[in-house]
Amino acid sequence: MKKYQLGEFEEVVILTIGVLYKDAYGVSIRKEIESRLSRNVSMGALHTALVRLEDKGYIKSFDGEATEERMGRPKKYFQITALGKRAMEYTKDTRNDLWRAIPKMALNPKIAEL
Amino acid sequence: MKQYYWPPKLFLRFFRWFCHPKLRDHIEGDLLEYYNQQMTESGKIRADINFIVDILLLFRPGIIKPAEGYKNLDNYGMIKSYFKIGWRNIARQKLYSTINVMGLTLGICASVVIYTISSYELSFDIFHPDRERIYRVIGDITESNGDKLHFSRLPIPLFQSARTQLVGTEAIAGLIPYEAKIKINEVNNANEFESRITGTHYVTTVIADQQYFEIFKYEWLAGNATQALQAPLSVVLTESRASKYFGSLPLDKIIGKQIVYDDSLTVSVTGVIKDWSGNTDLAFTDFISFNALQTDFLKNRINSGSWKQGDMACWIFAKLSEYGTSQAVNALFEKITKPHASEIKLTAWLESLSGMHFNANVIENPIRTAHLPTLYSLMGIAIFILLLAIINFVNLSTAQSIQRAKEVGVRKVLGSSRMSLSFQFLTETFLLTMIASLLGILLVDPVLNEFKSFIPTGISLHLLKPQTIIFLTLVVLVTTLLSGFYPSLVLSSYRPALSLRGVGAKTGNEKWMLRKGLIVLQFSVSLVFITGSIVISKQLNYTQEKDFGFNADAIMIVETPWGSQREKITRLDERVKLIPGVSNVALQWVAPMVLNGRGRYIKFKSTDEKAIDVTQVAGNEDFIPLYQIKILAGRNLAHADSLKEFVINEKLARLMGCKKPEDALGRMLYWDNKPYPVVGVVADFHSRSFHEIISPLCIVNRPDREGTLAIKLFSKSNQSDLKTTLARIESAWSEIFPAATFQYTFYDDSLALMYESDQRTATLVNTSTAITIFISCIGLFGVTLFTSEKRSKEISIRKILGASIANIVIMLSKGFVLLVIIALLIASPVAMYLMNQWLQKFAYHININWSVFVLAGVSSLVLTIITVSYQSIKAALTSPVNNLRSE
Repeated sequence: MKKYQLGEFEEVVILTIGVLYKDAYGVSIRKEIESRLSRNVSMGALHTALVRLEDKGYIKSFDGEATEERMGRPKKYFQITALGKRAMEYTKDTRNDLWRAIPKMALNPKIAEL
Repeated sequence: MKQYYWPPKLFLRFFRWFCHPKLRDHIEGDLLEYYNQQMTESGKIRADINFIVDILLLFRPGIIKPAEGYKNLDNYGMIKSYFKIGWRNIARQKLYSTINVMGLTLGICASVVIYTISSYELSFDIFHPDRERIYRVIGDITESNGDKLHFSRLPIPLFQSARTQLVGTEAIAGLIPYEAKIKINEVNNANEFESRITGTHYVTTVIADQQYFEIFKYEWLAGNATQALQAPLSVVLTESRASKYFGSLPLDKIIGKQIVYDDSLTVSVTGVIKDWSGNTDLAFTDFISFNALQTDFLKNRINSGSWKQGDMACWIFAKLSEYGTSQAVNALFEKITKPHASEIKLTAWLESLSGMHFNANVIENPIRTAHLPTLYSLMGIAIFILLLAIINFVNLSTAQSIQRAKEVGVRKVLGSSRMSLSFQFLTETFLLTMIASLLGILLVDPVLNEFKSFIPTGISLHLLKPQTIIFLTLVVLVTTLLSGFYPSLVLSSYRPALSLRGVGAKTGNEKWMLRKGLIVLQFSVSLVFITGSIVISKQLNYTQEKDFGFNADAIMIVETPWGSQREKITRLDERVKLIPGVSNVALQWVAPMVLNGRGRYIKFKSTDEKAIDVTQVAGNEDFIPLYQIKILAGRNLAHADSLKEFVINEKLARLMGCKKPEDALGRMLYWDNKPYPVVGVVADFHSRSFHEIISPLCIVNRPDREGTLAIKLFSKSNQSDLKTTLARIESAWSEIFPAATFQYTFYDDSLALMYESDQRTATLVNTSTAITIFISCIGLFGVTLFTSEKRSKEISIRKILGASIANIVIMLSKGFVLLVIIALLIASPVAMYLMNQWLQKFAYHININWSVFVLAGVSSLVLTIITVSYQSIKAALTSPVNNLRSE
């Protein structure tokens, strides 16, 4: 079994939370992903990912202020937990391991054709 | 100030509806914030579309609130825990639970069985449209002794005049049950069919009037509902019957086919009707048209113009018009019957269709009837048995409740209310009741099978019928509430401060009083049943062992074929007399004691004109010696070819005013206006069952009627001798009556049949007794188990201080013995009253004396002591060390 479960989109979300640091809430995360990765993110996908990350214990949330713009609804800020950090590192390490394991030739199309 | 916009409200509402409440607020905030930003960046339309797409994409499993609730605002989890805790408790207290479940299972099983029987009996003929307007005509004939006899089969002319003269009826139909051999007029069909419901004597072939189909509605599959029976010599069949006759022939081809009844009456099919699906007493299958009565063949059999009692054949059904009343019609009947008073003194009246199934008083009733009082007493018994089981439950649970006092205390401290505690204990009761119901329902079929002889065939439990489901739910709910209510009240009343400190619940007197009261109640009920079964078995023994006044042992009854020649009968008589193993043979009309001996009227000379209702027994000169009837004065009948003289019984002699039997000798008796001398007086013997008193009786020699042989054997106990004797009698029979089959009965067997219904009462009461005793005993067992557990320390200390085992057993038992004695005092008068009521049905019965109650009391005491002592001896034998060590 895998040690840390972290899907591709979940990874993007948790990384973005890290990027935003103290200002990570629904809208800001969405905008950040959309601007950085130039991909469309729906509220549904984002919040499902957030719920799942929180369920897994990779992030934690706390209620923030309620602005006028939000018609008085509170913000919910997210923060990466220690477990979340380990999961991110683990994912990153496995990726790096894989990168390293690829023979140089494989990525060089000219050589590979020979 | 900046202006903010609301997105499309409908979608926002939709979102709020489906979203998990925990997520709802901040996601909504995100949506609104994003929407407003989109609004300023790309305009309203763009923002709206994006908003709607977002909402639709949010509609996914992670976001939608779960169906079964999310916050435990309801008691879902609590109820789940009740069941869990309840089940653990049941599993922990295995013995108590078993006792409770056993009792409840018996109670529920009994009530379901009895429900099944009652609902079956009450379901007869309740599906007819306008059934409250349908009546059956009953005719009453009053006998000279004042007895009113009810007949359902009436003179055919009564039906015909009713048709024309009864105002206020919509339809009147005549119905003549007709038993016949049935053949189908087809070359390749040699099958013969029965015209009865298989295994019974209820006829399914009837000669019916067209209007029958106006009273009782059928679905017509073929033929004309209003004319099918108008055609000459026609017959209407039910679908099932038609397929029996003609196999899978299509309906339209069946029409016109011919059926032959008794090889003589040929009729053709004019209609096929669908069988009724409900239970009915009128399960006729062949309806022959009324005009068949005009055929020569039936004219010889059924005298359709006669008013005489002997020719009464016709069942009459009437359907009143909307405004007709049965009283008005009853009055009209008088006008019809009065002109024929010289032939028959008949009072006709209407009996409602709903009463038909329960009227057991009709003579020669062509339908099976149910006995309503029996049904009611069955229901009563069911309720009693269930009640006993419930009492057990209450007893045991309150007794056990102290052990759970701590649990209640903790629960209360943690904030449980009394309501929810009661609810918890009710859930436990509910669990037990459910287990018991399931077991009880499983037992129903075996029980019904066991009591097959008791109940009509075709009864089984239909679990999926709505009524059954409602009944079962009711039983479960009522049982749960009755048995769980009080214990839950007691348990939830404990005060946490007291019960947690270890003081336990109040052990005040009142609770013990209640428990004792319940035990007394239980034992009173069982004692009533015990007394009942003792009295019934004594009475039945009495009827079997009491001197009938004649000897019925080893007498074989052989009936010669109806209408045999006198000469043949006497020849058989003489032949059989010669067979070794046969001690004597008498010719008789009927045996001395039979079920339905009807009276003949006799006048005698001295007090002229005074008619006496006298039972007449006819036999030849061998009759009195064969039955060993004691002659008090005069002599036996002499051999004769015709009726010449009378032998009378003591009772008749006394009625004639003779002080001594001898005085009656030589007096003249008039019968059919001819005088006959009395030549002998015999001691009274029972000519009817013990339900009736001995009536005045005469024994006469009427050779024309004596077609039955009474054969006295030397012994019927030796099987091989019996076989050879029987074979010899049979060979003599087949020589003289080669065409007829040899049939015989033993007289004492048929005498026992006279008490069949009493036997059944006995079985019923015995079974109920067994069940009530069992339930009471397991209840007592449980309570003893509890007391000896509670008092184990006390017992140990007593033992250390020198009490013997006997002392302790007595100490533990004497309280219960006292309770049983109190129960005996309560039950005896009740049982006395009930059993006297029952005994009143017998003209000759035992007297209930103290010995019955002593027997009942002693047996229940023995049972109590056995039940109690098992536990108390066990308690007394345990080593004190084991019980005191924990201190």
